Amino acid sequence: MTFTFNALASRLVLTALLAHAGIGFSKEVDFNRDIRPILSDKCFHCHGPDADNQKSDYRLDSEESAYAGLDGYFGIVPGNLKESEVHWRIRAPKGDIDVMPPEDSNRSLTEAEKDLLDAWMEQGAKYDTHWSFKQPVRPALPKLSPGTQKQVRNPIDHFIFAPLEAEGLKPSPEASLENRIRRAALTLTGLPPTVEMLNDTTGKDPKLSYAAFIDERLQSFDFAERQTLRWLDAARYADTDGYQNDAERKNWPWRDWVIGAFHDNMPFDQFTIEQLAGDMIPDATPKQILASAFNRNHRQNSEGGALADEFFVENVIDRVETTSTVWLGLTMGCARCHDHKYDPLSQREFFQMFAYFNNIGEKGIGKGVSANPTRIYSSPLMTPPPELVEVKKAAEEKLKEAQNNLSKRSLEWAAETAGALNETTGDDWTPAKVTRAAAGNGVTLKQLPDESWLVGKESAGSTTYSLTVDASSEYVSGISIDALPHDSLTSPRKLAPSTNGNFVLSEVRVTINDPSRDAPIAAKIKQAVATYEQDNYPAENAIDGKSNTGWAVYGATPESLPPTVSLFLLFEEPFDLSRKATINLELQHTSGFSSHHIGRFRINLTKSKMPKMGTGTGLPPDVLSAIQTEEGKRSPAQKKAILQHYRKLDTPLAGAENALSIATKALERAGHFEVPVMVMEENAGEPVPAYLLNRGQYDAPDKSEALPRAVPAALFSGDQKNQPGDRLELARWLVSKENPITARVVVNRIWRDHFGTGIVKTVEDFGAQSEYPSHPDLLDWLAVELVESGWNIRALHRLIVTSATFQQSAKMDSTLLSEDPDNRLLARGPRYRMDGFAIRDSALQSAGLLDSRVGGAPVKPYQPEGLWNVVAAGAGTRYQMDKGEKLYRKSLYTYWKRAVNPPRQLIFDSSGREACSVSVSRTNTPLQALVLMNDVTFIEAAKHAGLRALAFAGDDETKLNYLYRTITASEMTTHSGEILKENLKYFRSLYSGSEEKAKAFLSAGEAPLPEELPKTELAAWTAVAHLLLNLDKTITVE
Amino acid sequence: MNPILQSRLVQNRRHFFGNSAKSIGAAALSSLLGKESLAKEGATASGDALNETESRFHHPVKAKRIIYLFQSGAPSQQDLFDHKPLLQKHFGEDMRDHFDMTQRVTGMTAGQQTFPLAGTKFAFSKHGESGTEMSELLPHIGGISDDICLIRSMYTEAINHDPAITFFQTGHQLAGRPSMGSWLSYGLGSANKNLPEFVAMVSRGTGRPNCQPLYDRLWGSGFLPSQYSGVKFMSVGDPVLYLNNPAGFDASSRRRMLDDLEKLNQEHLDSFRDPEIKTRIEQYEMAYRMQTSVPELTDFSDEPKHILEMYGPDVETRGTYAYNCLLARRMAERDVRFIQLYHMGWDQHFTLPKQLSGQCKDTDRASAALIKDLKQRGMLDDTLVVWGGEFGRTSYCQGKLTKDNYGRDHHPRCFSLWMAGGGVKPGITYGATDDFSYNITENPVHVHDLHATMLHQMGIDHEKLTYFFQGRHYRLTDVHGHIVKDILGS
Repeated sequence: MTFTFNALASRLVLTALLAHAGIGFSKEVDFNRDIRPILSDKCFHCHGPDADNQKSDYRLDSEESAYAGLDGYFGIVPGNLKESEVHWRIRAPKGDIDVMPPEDSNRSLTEAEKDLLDAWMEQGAKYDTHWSFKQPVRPALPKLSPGTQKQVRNPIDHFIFAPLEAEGLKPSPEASLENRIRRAALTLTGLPPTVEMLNDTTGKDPKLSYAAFIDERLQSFDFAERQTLRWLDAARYADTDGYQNDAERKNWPWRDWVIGAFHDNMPFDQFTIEQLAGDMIPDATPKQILASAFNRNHRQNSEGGALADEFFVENVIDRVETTSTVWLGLTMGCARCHDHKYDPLSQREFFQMFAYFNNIGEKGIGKGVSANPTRIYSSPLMTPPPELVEVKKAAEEKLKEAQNNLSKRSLEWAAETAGALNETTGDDWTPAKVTRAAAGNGVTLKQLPDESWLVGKESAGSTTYSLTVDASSEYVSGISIDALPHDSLTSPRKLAPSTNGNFVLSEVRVTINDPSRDAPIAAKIKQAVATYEQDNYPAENAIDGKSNTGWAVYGATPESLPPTVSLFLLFEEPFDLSRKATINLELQHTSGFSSHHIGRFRINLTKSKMPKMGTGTGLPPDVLSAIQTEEGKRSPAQKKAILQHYRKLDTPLAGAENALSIATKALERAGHFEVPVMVMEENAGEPVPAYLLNRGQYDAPDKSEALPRAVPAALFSGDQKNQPGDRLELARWLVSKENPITARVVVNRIWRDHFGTGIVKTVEDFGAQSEYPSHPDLLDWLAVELVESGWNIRALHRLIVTSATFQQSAKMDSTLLSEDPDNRLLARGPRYRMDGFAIRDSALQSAGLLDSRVGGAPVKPYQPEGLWNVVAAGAGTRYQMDKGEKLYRKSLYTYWKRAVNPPRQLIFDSSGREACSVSVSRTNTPLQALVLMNDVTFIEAAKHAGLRALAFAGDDETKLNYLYRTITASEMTTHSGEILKENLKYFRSLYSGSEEKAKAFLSAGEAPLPEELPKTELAAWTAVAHLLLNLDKTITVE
Repeated sequence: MNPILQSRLVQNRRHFFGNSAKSIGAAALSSLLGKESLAKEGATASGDALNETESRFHHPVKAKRIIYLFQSGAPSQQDLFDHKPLLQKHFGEDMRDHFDMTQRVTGMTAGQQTFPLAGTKFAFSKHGESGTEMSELLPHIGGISDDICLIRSMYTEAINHDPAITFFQTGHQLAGRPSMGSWLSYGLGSANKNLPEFVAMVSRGTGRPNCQPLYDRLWGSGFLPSQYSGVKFMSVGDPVLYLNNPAGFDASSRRRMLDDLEKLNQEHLDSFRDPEIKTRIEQYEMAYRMQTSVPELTDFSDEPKHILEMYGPDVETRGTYAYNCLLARRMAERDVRFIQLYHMGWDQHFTLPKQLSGQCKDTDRASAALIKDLKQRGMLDDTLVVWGGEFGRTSYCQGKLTKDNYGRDHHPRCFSLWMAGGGVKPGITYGATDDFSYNITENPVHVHDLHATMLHQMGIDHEKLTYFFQGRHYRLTDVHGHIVKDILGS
């Protein structure tokens, strides 16, 4: 039987007529399936759960209120249409003032919907708990006819085939083995099978059955990486902070934790608990705390002037919304400003959920890398080379040693310093003659009559001054730099040509050139002190050996700051210099902030061992007074002040720290980084109170009541007194049998990942506005199965891809095309476009370029010129493309900048990773065609795939077959073969006529080609591979 | 078939077609650029192609396209459009001596000891028959004062750039919602078969080259399908990403490749019968057409000298505001529906006089030239042009105040913006602020109101253009927005 839409429409009209005649439907109306979606979408806006903010007092969201008496009449009288006002209102003619929904509401009911509502009221207007709020119970397997039964491979098929039988449809035949292998490989791993895999499974004498192939794939890192990729969208993982300047963050060790968890097949309940509350598990391991970074992947605002309270609230709300979407499938964010319009979620309950997530002592603003709580992690997947680890361990030991005697050395220093202080006299610093001054990057320097130096107006991203200072016949123990204001420099600071007159001095290098010595000596600086330093930009930054830190001199009220600032540098050992000695002073400005270089300066030298530095001795007041207090009489605070100050001066400690830093860098060069990860760390003691925020505004808390933590009552079946008391209990409740939703939500997403559409199409919403499940019993069966399997995710994937349903052919006939174009009944196998990640990775694999390393810091592959520069500010403007193998790592590892997403992913519908996203969009656009046609990634992939074909033994036809199979993982048809042969012929003749063209075409990409190559022949094969990489079937799961 | 199940399937289809308008399945036949979209709710069950006899519009169409000249960073209203002589009179006095500062202040100036009033150092004068008062920094825009409607009573919610710009582009302060251009292309589809319907272009200000950033999401499609995103025209490399064929592969090679690609895809279509394959074939043809139409669009060699001169000397330099203005006119001629320019660098916290002069030099002449150019071609009547930033600036000085030098912090509660063409009344000034440009005293216009009005001129009822996502029917204007009828012509 086939219905066209017209036939269907007339059938519906007929049904409606029957309903009006009082004959009713042949089958009972199901409230959850048929009625709630209508009430929710068309009525609840004014007659729903948000009682305080709707026009009407009459509510349709529960039995009591729907049946309640109104002023002498009733909204609904069960079983009695004539007495039910709702019936008359929905049937009122257009234009009637009583018609419901009102005409200005932008909502209206179709005739079919009115019929359903009437039938429901006639049948008793029975209400029912929303389906997803009821505990799933494992349903019995539906019976099938013997013919269909033969096609069954596992229980899933019963639930899919039974409705097909009822509709008079048949499951499609099984797809070819090759086709099934490719489909399963793509949905499990995001990669098609390699030619070797195809030979192993579909060759004449296969080594692996379909099931064995599936098991092999499930055990692979490819599988773990693919599942992680899905999870990253849900977890809104990115490599930058998201707001304004979009600073880089380093939460990627968490990403590697996820890969490890999927590879180990961690049970989903444990996966949940560790990510939501790993920090609160008793005796939590560092790995469990790393897992909790899940809820720190939110965006983080460090825009100048941003208000901490406002963004603290946004961060916490993000956690509530993400957690509720990922685990509960509820759009809880709708209850931020008022009670939920459709679901039984009150605004109060929203902020009760908020109360689980607001207690980690975060500040709300600031860059992610320092947005405490943070912890230092490296990738949990990678084992660093043992010899480098040994070196590092030894350095750590040395450091411990140095720290051991630190206290003793600090006391010696204090005594010595106290003595020196008593001896110090006189004018300590004398201006030095700068005999030569030059600056890099086009910046000019000129000397003013007062002998200070002034920069020109040239702007520069970075510049280094190189100064030669006359130091003949001097005893020199230190050098200082005075930064002086000048009217040609920028207000308010007037100390630099930058936008606000501020500078950042990144690093200072001092070299002593004394002709009486063999070679120039790099002066070791033991102390850097400034007369003024900006928060987070202390003077020590100028001597820390790091080019990305520095000393700067700005502040909240720039006009009240000292107009002149000085930096004093004391040498570890004074120098006794001969005649003609000079000092070379290098001032590096490499912060990345434009033109933040010192605008006008003067250099001074000192002979004093303890010179005055600025207003005093260079010692902070508390340290000074501590030193001047007799040793036995020092308070604990004074002892601490001395120790902390001395730490920075101690040579053994500095040496040990330096050795450790070298050992660390060696590890980093080998790919092993230790980076700060934003994690959750629950505060001890009384939790921070949570209040209802009026209209959801951060500055409008209702302080009349601190809200107790609780999950929404509609979901909580236990005694309300036993509500989860903290985040850990919340996590445990989410994966407990008491929670009806989570297993369904998880199963549904995994189903979607294979079939392209969920059993519940609205994967992000299981509330009243959700779409009713296409196969509700199957959803429940799978949910129960998942829980009873011990939340075994791998087993669930195996179950799905080994079902007959999944293995059907994806071919459509006209019946299926007209009756079920979206394949919701699953009378055929899935067919949908791959995502951008899989498309790129598959092309790289076909080319033999894909780098298979797992985990580590993100990478920057090819990207069109200027993408970041056009929109970004400051340091964010540089995209430093990687080199070598990093260009070919899986797209999972591509650096994710929130302000400018990787373009080829964006064009293929990726989520922006700004906020949690679990739904998938698939468009079909010309911009996608342009990517596959012209992106260097795909041209280079074609070249290397072509190279493989060229190297494959055999004639053109054999090579073509091989190339076709490499790229499409299927056999070439005769017709396709003919087209491709002609294509090859065309390009062969084109390129043999112009070697120039061939060379140009082969110039794409960085991967080297073998030296001796028939260039024109390779160009022709590249063109054929390029054509194949653009095929619809190549980029489609089918 | 069980009629209830069947009705549910139909409902689902309608759900699908009515709300997401176009996506995979039968609807995909008319995906991007080949499509006409649905502003009207409740498309029929057969839903795919639009019924041509049915009007797509809720209102009569006054504007066929919009050119939005977004001045990113927030231009100072006190120095450009909203003259406040009293600020000069009370120059240097503390704002708090005149009234209570009840509005919130950013973290950048919250700690200031004083809030000295900063009168503008620039002279204002009246222009044209309308007598619209404007700053000497904008002589050319002054020259078109009889063509524009100056709104002095704009206001917004956010106080920092990121939330404020995001709010202006998407109607919401946090990322994730569709931008106004993508709402329009979702609602109206394309009027042009060879170019995108929504284009974004970016230029950097010379007044403050080291400026605050922008983000791709500002022209993104949020939760709408990505085909409704703005296409960013680049100032370096290919004007549209990945537009140009690779080296050694010219247009004739491309043609041959596409012909063979079609044959292979067609063979597969015959076997699988999935309409998506047909759509893919069409999208490749569209891509091929774009490879011709975009270079033709960006080739200014057919522009006469006097036109180029009108836009100023920068017009031939890619990546400048003037270049983008002329490109915008050329796009408008080709019926690109929503053309958005972003000019960066209007964030004058310090050294405002110097920076602002630079910003105005970048934009004044070309903005006015665009209006005049559209007008002389008879296109201003059905092209709505909007010029403005994301919020205003404070009347008190940030940092040190002198007669010649001052800066201003962010001020969301009042600022100025102008519109021209597209059915908006020319030569009027609308709304007013108090003597200190602190509050609006007359006819406030919220960002949502501006959005509602823009959609209205395009023939769309802002309350009816909705998209179902996460259980809600979302709108550009959320649950707000009033059409500013006072500024609309008959």
